[in-house]
Amino acid sequence: MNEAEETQRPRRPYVAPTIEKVELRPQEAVLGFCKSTTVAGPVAGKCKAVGACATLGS
Amino acid sequence: MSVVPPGARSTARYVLGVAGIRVAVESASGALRLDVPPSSVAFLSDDGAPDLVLRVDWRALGAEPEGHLLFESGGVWRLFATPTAHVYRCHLPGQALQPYKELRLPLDGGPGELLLDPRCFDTGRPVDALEFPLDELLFLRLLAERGAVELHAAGVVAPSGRGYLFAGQSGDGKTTLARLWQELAGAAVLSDDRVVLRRGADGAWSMHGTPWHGEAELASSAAAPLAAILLLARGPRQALLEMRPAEAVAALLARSFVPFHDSAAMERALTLLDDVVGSVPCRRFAFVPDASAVRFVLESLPGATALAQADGDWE
Repeated sequence: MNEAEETQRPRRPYVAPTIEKVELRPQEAVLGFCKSTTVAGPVAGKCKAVGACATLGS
Repeated sequence: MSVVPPGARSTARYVLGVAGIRVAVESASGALRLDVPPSSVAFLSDDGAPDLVLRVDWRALGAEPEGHLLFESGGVWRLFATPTAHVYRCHLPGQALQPYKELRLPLDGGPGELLLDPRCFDTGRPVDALEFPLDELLFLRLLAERGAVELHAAGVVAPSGRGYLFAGQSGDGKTTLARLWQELAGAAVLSDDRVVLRRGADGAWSMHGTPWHGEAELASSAAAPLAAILLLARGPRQALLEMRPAEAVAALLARSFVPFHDSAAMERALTLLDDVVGSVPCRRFAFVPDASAVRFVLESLPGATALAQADGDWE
């Protein structure tokens, strides 16, 4: 597009940029917690993992 | 087709396929049997070469691996970087220095190693080596490398074959809506919690089910063409609200699972979300959680009309 065409083109009205907050739930977003009610993690007694992952992540 | 005989969930090797990406999981020892969890059975595949091979073995793990900490989830896993590999370590909440398994992925794309600490497992029993969150973390990485993204969303397929994606965070109503769509004759639910978006070679968007289901435990390995994306919100009545593109991209990003440690992957994810918002209708869906929500979507969105008008279509 040359300069003449550029000046003939209707200009869009200026819309000032705005900042909006978008809620991010970090623990959900990074899989930082357990997802299902099924047993997850190792099952030997030493790690005491049975039921450790009991938080619903859905 | 499954490499695991029907009814047998213990095996020495299996291939998991999600959204066209395939990972082969192999035991390195005859004494180590692999358990395939029920939610993964529908995703077993043996079509073609895998994108990644993982060898699973026992090994006592130290408190810290070599390399430096690349990402701290703040929960049950951490990611480390060495000059040649990325290392995911899983631990119980609050026990980061006592990892129970470690996934080592060479940066050159070669076979990975999945190491299980025998002190933390019943070594005489089959083990679900890729147990959550490792399975999902692995696929998120592979998806990001291949220009796909996983959304926190329910995915449903209308009787017309058109796919609708309902994106929302925990508690927004994904499972509730998935259950409502189940009531519609001829409809199918791909997932009540996690859906992958990919763009095909023809430029068309598709949505794919994943094994990582929600409370309703709805997980299908099927896929469908993406017709619309709806961002969930509760409302006093059913309503579809316009969204500015930037608003839609931001809202989708907050409902995506992306590798925050990888700036290039984040760039690709943002580009992908921008592309999909530019080519697929994206609306905020304020809804009342009853059967009228399904009917409302079918009657309101382009191309979804002439479906299920008769009361008899409802089971």
